[in-house]
Amino acid sequence: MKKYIEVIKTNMQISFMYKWNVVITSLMDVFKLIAECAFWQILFATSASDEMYGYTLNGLITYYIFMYIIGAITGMGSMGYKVADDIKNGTLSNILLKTISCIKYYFSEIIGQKIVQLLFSLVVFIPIFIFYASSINIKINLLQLILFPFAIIFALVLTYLINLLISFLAFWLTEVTSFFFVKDLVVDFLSGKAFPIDIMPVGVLGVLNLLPFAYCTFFPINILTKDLTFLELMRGFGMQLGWILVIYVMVRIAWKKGIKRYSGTGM
Amino acid sequence: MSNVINVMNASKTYKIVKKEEGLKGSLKSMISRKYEEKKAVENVSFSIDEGEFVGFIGPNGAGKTTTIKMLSGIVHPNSGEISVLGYMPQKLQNDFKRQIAVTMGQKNQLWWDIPAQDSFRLIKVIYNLSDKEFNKTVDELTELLGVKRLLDVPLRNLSLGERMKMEIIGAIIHNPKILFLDEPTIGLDVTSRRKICEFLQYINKERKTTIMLTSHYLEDIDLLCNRIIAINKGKVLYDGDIRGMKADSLDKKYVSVSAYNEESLKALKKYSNNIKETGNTIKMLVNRGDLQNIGKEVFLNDQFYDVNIEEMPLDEIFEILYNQRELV
Repeated sequence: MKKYIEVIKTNMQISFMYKWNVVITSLMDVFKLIAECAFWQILFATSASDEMYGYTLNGLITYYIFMYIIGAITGMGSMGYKVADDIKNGTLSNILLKTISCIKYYFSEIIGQKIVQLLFSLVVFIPIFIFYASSINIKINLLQLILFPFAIIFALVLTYLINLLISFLAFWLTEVTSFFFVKDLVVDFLSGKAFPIDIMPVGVLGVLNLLPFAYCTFFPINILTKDLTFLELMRGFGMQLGWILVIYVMVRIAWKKGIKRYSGTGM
Repeated sequence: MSNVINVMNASKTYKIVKKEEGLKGSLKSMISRKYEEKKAVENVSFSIDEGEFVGFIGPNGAGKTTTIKMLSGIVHPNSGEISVLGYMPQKLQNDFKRQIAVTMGQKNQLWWDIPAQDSFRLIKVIYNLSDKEFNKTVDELTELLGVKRLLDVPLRNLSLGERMKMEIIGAIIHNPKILFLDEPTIGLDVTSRRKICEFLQYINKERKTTIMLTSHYLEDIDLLCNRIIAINKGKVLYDGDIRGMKADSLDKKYVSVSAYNEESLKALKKYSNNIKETGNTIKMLVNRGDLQNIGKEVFLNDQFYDVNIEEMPLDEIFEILYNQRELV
């Protein structure tokens, strides 16, 4: 455990070196958020009803604000590309030869980066909170408040494992960048990053609720913004943990098979 | 002396995509891919004892790096048996990893954005080293390589030579029993190269670290290694004492002779069919057995004013070795 904490510390140090990168990433989120809110404001202004797809304007603004905060915590940035690159050009060997687990090493790396990013995000998001204060409606009871950190951590682990699994494709294919483009599109859409997925028809929503992606973003937001029943909560956590387990097993299998094919190119 | 590395008939074949020339070839390759098997290492066997300093040589693409990758567990051999310190390398057990180190001249292992001392600290925690042990090692090694004052400079701001010294220190902080070095001095200036060579000699002697070194600088190999293994096209061509190879494997010497007139030189040309002429001097490759006769001719003729007899340079010995198959 001590070594992973040291990896986290080192990566925080590296992230601080690239602080402008982090600041700009956070600012980009804010601009996107403002654009998103403005879009819905216009849409609601031209509409006769003050509810769309079961959301009020304030409900949607709240959704997007939390979506960006949760996105800042669980987003993997370029981590997937990096792992794929490490496999492709042989840098993976460095970690492979140390007395450290690669799967945990990359996770510690991302945690280190996240902690720094979160610090900057908090600073950037405070004005947003004040600006939209009147629009934010939080529906949360004590149980949800207690459970929220767990939902976030599980969402982070799940997102990490999905990304890692895709990067392991690099063991078999030389170029996986396109997979990440597709993943970004699909996952944004299916996880609730583009819009709340419950505005979709019931049948589609039913399918989305079975896939892992909804548990990366949509479910944690709901814990904060919706009054969920105990059953809904348990189902959500069950799916989160279930998918973590399934994808973790897939990651382990892909790792075991991939490492046999790994040739440490160029090294 | 105990055996630390044992390789028995190890082979590694890579599957590489073969593509015909040009765009048409690319389109074809999209529909049906043709793979070609490339034998990187073929039935290689050798063993290395504790404390040896082995030079592992061969031209580009000979299979040196692949062998090192197999020995360190990065690459799985297709067949054969490899045992390093009693472990099967590709299992990559922690107990095994703690006892080996690999340094590649063309790759960074330390973290690029942070100073070397921070990288070292991370390595310390990863290998679970005690403070005392760690401080002593870093102190000693940075002193020896003369890079102590650069410990707090981010790695990316160091010169290639300085970085390589840090890389080598980073590789051996955990005091490995075996060190694999792949081209550690590539692209470095003479001073840095000499410093690194002295350093390697020191850790081989003082720490009893077994070292396997690949390099294209044969003077380095000559200086450092008490044994060489030469491979080409995936096969071992020579395994033994470097001096033995110089003396026995090729019974040739270079003789350079200078004379005032060309006639005298011409008379010597019968001894060799490998002659280089520059002005009044000829340099020829002759059989050792002819030396006596050449000497007689030269010393009894007052037209000659200079004679020089040299060993065949190592590079040339190896070139001949690589071109022949299975010399030994």
